[in-house]
Amino acid sequence: MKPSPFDYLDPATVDEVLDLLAEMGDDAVVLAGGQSLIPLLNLRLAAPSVVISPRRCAEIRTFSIDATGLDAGALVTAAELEESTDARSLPGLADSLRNIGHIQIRNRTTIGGSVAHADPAAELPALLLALEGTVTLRSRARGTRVMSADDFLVGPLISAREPDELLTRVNLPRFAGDVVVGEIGDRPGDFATVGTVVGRPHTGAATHRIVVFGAGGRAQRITRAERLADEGASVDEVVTAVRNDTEATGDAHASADYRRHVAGTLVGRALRGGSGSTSTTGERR
Amino acid sequence: MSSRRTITLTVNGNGHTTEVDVRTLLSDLLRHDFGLTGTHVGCEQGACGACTVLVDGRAVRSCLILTPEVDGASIETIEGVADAQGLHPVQAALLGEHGMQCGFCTAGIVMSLVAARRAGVPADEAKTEVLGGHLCRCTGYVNIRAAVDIAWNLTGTSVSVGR
Repeated sequence: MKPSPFDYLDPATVDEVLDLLAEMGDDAVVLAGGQSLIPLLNLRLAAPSVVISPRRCAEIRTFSIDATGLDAGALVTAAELEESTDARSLPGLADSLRNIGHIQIRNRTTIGGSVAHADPAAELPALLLALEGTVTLRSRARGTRVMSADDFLVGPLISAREPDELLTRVNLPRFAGDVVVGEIGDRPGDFATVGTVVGRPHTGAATHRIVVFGAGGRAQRITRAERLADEGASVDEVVTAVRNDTEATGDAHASADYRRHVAGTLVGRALRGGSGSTSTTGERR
Repeated sequence: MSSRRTITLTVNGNGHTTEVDVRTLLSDLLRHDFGLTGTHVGCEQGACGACTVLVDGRAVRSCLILTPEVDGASIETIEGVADAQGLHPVQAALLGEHGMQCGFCTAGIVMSLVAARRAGVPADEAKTEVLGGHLCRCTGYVNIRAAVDIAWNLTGTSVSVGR
C-alpha cells in the first residue's frame, strides 16, 4: 500500500509555509505528525498533490505553561506534553492525552494536528472546547486570526481553517477547578464511542463545563446542563439534561440513544467523583 | 520536482544516504531498500503495531511516517536489538516464556518493550499501555505479559542464550 504521488515540501520557517499555502491552497495538505493523515493517504482516501510539512519550523515546536494555562506550538507532540510535569498539572490535560491512541501513536501525534483534524471523537478538541481555549491561524490573506474552539470546530473533520491557513498555536486556559475526562470505547486507545469532559469549579472560582464528544458531528457543550450544575441542581437533573440535549448519531458501534445515555452516566460520575479524575476507557458495555 | 529527495539517516548504527520517492513509508524503506524485513507490515494504518520501530529512541509506527520526515534521524529495528554477546533481555524473556505464536507481531512488540524498558517504564504499564498498542491475532498475550515481568527483572542489555 502506498500513497498516491505527491510533492513534499518542508520549509524551515512558518513564513515560508504561509507562502506555499497562499500559492497552493486546496491542492496542499499540512502534515503535522501524520497519525491521522498518513492512514488517509495510505488508503488513498486523500490524494493531495502537495504535502507541506512544517516539521523544521522550530518556532511551533515548543510550549510554555504558566498560571493562565498552556501556550503550545502546533507541532508539540502529545508525548512531549505527557512527559512534562508542568503540563500534567494543567487540569484535564494529562487525562485527555492518555486517552489518545497508544504511546506509539502519541510519540508522533501533535496538538495542532489533532485539533485541526477536528475528529468528533478526539479528546483534545473536546478539552479545548470545554476550557474555552483558542487556536491561532495564520495566512498571507488574513494575517493572524485567534479563534475560539467553539468557532473553529465546525463538523466531522471540518474546521473553520481556510485552505491557505496554518494552525500555529493552541492555547488551553488553566481551569480553576477539577477537570474530569471520561470515555467509553471498544478498547483502550480506540476512538471514543462517547466521552465527556466535565469541569468542576472550585467554589465561586468559575462555572461548570460539560462537553460531550464522540456522540455527534463535533464536540458539544451542553449549556443547559452547565447552568443547572451552576445553580446547584441535583446530579440527576444535570444527567437528565445531558441525555436530553446531547445530539447523537448511531452507527455500528452504538445507537444514538446509547450514546446519549452513557454521556449522562459519565457526567454523573464526574460530578459525584472526588478531586481526582476517572478514566473509563475500555469499560465493558 | 520535489517528489524525490536525498535523505541521510542512521539505521542500527549504520549511516545511510539514499534517494527516496517522498511518498515512501519508513516501513517500505526499511524492507525494500535496506532489506530489513524483520520489520513487519500489517495494517498500514497504525492500528496493529507490527511495523513499530524506534525513531530517535521513541517507539513509532513506521507505516505512518514518510521517509523525508526521518531525514537526519536515528532508526532502530529488530535487526539491531541483539548484540554480539546475546539476545536483548526482552528477546530472551519472550523466547524463554514462549511469548509468541506465529511471530508476526513479535518484532514490533520487542521494539516497543525495548524502548519502554530503556525509559524506565514500570512493568505494569508496559503490560497494559505499551502492549496495548500491539495486536497479537494469535491472542498469545498471557505469555507475552509473563515475558515482560521476566525481562524487567533482568539486568543489562544482553543475555547469552544457548541455542
